[in-house]
Amino acid sequence: MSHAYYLYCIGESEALAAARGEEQPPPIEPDAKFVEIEGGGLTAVTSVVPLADYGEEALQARMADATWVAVRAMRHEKVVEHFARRASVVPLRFGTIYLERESVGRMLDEKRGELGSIIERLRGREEWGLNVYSDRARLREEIVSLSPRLGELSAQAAQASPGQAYLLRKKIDSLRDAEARAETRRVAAAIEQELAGAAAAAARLRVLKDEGGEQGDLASKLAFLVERDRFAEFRAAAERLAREYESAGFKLELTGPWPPYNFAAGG
Amino acid sequence: MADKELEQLLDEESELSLLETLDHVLNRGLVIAGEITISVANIDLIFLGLNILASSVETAHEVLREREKGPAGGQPDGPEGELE
Repeated sequence: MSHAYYLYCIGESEALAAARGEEQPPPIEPDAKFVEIEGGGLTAVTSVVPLADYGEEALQARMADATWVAVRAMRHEKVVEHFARRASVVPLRFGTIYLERESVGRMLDEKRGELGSIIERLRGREEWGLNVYSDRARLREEIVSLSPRLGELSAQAAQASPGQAYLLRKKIDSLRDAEARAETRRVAAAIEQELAGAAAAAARLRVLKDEGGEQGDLASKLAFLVERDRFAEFRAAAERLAREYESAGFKLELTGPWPPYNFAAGG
Repeated sequence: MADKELEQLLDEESELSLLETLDHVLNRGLVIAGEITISVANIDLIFLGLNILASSVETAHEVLREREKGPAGGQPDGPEGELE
């Protein structure tokens, strides 16, 4: 045995058969062919890959090579995107590998209830990502007019004696950072709540530390499962929020459509 | 060998959209325990490595692009867009 089966996504057999006819993107290894494996009315889109690269130990070693992983992960994505555009599919995480064709069929059969309900939930829906960036310096400037607490201190300072006003201003300055952080959390939560109303589901994602850049600090990373038919409404809501929070230094960035990776878990 | 391919990817995708894609593919999606598994503990390290790699390759790339094309280089079209 020198080969294994690498799985990209799972969908209903009928729906995937209809998607197959069109030109497919390259598989995870350029010379690997696509193999569709059926079980319980479902089909897994797979490729035959060499164990020399995808065996347990070999793969662990390959995963240390960031370039190798990046290239394969992109190919995985393109294949999943191809099918997700044409059918309701469950995107699998990178590196789902089976040694035997029969084991894939058995897995599909055993999990058909769970997989079927995920496919049902994802039908007609796409994932959209929303990144909320904040301009910390700008928010720090604007925060006195945004934070009720600082607004009150500022009003007191305006009426106080020069000495008292000086102390109040010092206090305001010492609270700017904390209030700016609180405002950022409040804005992110408000955006999440508002957009969740135009979506079928929402998820808050972790913010990886070095993310962000020219847009500002990445303050929040959200994912939404959106009905294709309601995307215009969702987008309009996002644009309205972008305008609403622009003056406080927030920028909203919409990414997608993605295959519904963040909504693929059962339950 | 694969460096060329990665550079090609970066031609098509901006750094951010590359990272977002990698985050999706590596960290999300349904987990089905296959017969060969990648240890989840490693994924964070891998991702950190990718993060550094994508930014450094992209930086190098951008410099090259600027030198070849002059200052009016267009943004590549990724699956993303800034809202007005």
